[in-house]
Amino acid sequence: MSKKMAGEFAAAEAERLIEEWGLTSLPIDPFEIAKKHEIQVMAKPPEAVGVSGFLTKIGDTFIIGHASNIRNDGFIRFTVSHELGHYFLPEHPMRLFPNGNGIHLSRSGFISDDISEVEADHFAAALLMPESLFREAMSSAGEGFPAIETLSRQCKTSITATAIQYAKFADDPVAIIVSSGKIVEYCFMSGALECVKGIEWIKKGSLLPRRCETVGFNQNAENIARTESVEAWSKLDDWFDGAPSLDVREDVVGLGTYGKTLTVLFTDGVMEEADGQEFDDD
Amino acid sequence: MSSKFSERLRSARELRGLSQSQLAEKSGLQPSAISHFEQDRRSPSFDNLRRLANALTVTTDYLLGRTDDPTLCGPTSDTLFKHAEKLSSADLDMLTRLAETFANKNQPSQEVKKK
Repeated sequence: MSKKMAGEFAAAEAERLIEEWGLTSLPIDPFEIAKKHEIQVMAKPPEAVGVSGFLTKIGDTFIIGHASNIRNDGFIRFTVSHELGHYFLPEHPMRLFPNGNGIHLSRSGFISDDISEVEADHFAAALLMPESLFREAMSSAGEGFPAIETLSRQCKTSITATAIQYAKFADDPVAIIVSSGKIVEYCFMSGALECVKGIEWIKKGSLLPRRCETVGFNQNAENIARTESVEAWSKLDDWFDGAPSLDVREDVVGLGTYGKTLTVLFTDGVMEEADGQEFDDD
Repeated sequence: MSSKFSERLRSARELRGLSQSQLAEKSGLQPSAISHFEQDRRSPSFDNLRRLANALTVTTDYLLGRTDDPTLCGPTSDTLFKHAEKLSSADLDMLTRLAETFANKNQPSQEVKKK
């Protein structure tokens, strides 16, 4: 199964469970879900750095542990939801503990190649931001970065996770870029942006464009630590090879103790302009 | 592992004298899911395992083939870490303490069950 298919499968499973449990309003509470299923949730002491989360099976007792050194409620809720994904998704017992005992080590994050971790991340996103409820909330949240902030408060999710889900369902061209220093860690594009003729993906590990606000923002570590934010404009073709030269809104925000920067590129006019250019070229 | 689970599920169900439909009802799962599990066409989630174990009055470790006694748990704890590259000695210490706590807590009840 491809990573994309695995992610879609896991998201569908989370949506199915949300419906089965009769959850019809935001925010979804992963702690309550764990409690109802007799899964204990415990926080590691704030001074204890290390893994961000784990699911432990001791006999028939299940325990989710989460880090508390990253002071972000949305991050913690996502971590707990990720571990719930390992608990509720089929095949994980056999995949995660193929030898029947011992400790299984795995890596995680949207940049992971481990299919189980990809599934758990997509499960978590869909659990906290199920499509039907999220789309309904989007319809009254406005657009661009302000909409993402509103949805983040409604879903009690981190700004990054919310932005990624926003890009997934947005009708407008949106790109979500997470960077560190001069390097792009990963990038998500909305369907409308992917459709722009000739546009190329920003590859993981590539350099940020020289002419953008994000580069300057990242030069000062205090901006990230203090979760500063900047509103700016940049050119779409500075970011994406093959894209038309259009002004796009560039919202940049430091992600605090996470140590990275989130950039949201947004415009509500790219498709029309791109179509127009295509017409002119012809 | 998976075929062991299929065998264990079927034998435990038959031992309890339950049909697939009865087990489905008792565990809150679909009858088709029980059939798929027993035919090794699908692999369960931890939640499925727990429901089945509760309905059959066996342990999840028995269903997984980690112990041959239906009432006992396996000797080890299993842990899945997120961001394992950041695993610290403090994490390992904490998990070891957790496992020991639960092992001690579970031991008397397992002995009672054995009687």
